[in-house]
Amino acid sequence: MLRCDSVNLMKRRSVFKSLLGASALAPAAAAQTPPTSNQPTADDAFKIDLTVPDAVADPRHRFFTPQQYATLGKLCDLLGPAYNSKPSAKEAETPQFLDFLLAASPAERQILYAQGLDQLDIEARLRNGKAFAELSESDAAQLLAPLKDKWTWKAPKELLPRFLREAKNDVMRATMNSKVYADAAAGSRRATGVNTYWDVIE
Amino acid sequence: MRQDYDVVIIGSGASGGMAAYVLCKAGVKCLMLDAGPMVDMQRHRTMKAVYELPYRGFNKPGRFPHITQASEFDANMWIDEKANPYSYPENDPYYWVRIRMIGGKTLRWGRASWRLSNYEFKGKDHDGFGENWPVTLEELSPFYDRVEPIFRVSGRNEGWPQMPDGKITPDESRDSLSVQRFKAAAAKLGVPTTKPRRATGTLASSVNLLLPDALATGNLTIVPNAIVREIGIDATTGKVNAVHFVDRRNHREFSIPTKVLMLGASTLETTRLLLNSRSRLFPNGLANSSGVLGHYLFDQFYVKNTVVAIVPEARGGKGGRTLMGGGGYIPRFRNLTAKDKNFIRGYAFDFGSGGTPSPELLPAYGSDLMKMVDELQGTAFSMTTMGEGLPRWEHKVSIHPALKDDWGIPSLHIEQKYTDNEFNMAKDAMETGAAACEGAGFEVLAKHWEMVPPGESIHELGTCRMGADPKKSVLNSWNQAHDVKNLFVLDGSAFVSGGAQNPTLTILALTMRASEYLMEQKKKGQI
Repeated sequence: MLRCDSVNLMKRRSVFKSLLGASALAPAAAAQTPPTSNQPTADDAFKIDLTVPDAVADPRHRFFTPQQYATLGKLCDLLGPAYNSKPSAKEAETPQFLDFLLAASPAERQILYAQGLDQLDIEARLRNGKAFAELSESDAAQLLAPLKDKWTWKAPKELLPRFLREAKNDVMRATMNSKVYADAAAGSRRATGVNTYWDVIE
Repeated sequence: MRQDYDVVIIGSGASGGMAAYVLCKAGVKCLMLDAGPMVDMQRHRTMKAVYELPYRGFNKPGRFPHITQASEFDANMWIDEKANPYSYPENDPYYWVRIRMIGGKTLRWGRASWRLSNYEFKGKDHDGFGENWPVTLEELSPFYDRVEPIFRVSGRNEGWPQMPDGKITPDESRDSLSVQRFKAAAAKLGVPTTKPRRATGTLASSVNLLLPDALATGNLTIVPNAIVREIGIDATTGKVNAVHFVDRRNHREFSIPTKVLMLGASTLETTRLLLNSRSRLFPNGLANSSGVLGHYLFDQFYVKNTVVAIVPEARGGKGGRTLMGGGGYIPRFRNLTAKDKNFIRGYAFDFGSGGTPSPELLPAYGSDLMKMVDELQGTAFSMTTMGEGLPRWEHKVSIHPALKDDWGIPSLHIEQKYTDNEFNMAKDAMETGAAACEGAGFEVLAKHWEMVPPGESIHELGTCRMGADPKKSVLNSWNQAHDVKNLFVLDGSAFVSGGAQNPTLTILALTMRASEYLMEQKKKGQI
């Protein structure tokens, strides 16, 4: 599984600090501070800041084989590089997210991804004698050439072009819909993807 | 002591809402049943960032195999496809898109509000295909005249026979330069263009424009979460005498007597209910002595983004509001005066200027793609085709022999596919749209003629058609069942043909007319 060690370390420290704060400091503070009229009201409870799991924890690997995951990581690097102060797919943990998404997806989509990644790796080994994950950008570009073809409404019939077209859209979308991307685009409602959410209606 | 109701209305969308609006204001006591809950716009809606959603905006995989309109933001609006299954032939998918809530699909409709013309009402006279409606534009116009102000329709009257003028608020807004260029290029091809014609306001729904007035009379009672299972009939009189429904939440069964039934559950739900209401008198479904019930299903085929073009002068952020923005509509222009193509009937376009082409369309990836997207911000000009699907006997719905929904109600099997007439129309639309864009000096980035599957336009129509001949239709010219005089069917199932126009305005006008007819008949003691 590909890992971004600095992010993991940061997350662990953050969780450790919050645990310390909760377990070691809270009882002492509670003992010293008598109840006052400044205690939060019930309404204030709705103002508590929350975050998403991705921001504090590492998702567990679920779907791809280690080889497929390495290929996906390389593909994400190529399809979603950092650009104009916007984070890369790797920084957005797009490979981890797609691993989760594919694990929950219908079989047809799972097969497309698994076979597409396998095919990409096989082609790399045949052409360049090494795994796709180890290719240089220029060598990888030859395999990604179908993405420079003119767009057609119907997806290509061949496996690799069809998979690459799907992956291109998914990598961009998963990256642009991530929290780190929203944080980098702070100030622009459109860029941060804020919209009206309909709750469960009962 | 429970109150007696004069009329039971099934459905609270465009047709059910309008029936309540007319009847309650006339002093008729109405009970409205709707299969869905009431939405509280304050409580049920919140602002969220896409990263807060469980699937980063991708939606729960597999949740909506047929509802492409559903996003992860509004997923809870749409019907649960697992709880409400249906079937279709293996190679002919049908996308049945449903909302079950008070207000129905008027909570989400596109608001385009075009009148049908006599090219539709008298279509058979014009080209020999199908049947004429038993109603003409002249008969329906007074009702269109009254519906348009209620829905605050805005647009431009052009005096064209295929696009009848309306009682609308004039849209005098100035076109952007790109739209002006496009209109000039279209005119050279003999293609007419006009402003969009749409219902306006923050919300243009049954829940804010129809139901409040009906409720204010004190004559309307609404029961949400009431899924109607079957309509009961008096074997002696042959009239509807009861409605049997189940509470969506706890599956508790209820029955209510009724003197008159106004049915507006939406095209296919209405026909499903009639087909499921079998009796000794009507063994093939209620009001189905003709055998036509379920047949002649059609819709408008959509070719989304038929043409996507770039306005070259807008590249590099040079667009601005003078050059880019706005849009318009192209009404049917084919086969009006003579048959001039390899298809009958015609199609319309919506077009819009502004926005950025989807990265999916751009032949690049990585940094090159992102540079391209930056360069093309706000440069797009796009066109979507809406074409007339022909009503055919073999396009039909029937009750599935085994499949049932979560409430034990038998489901529909739906059979509809497009034919060469629609395919030829779509190809012509692509070529014509691209030619107009090129004539305007735009760069055509992508063009295609592949329509979305039947049903996806959410303009499903027919299956309980009106007609002058009781042997060839289910309803008479007043939306009243030929066989059952106290049964009125108000929604899109009553349509004989649909043109390329969005159907909601016509559903509203027909319902207003049918409701007033009911009042007259009651006064005369005919019902």
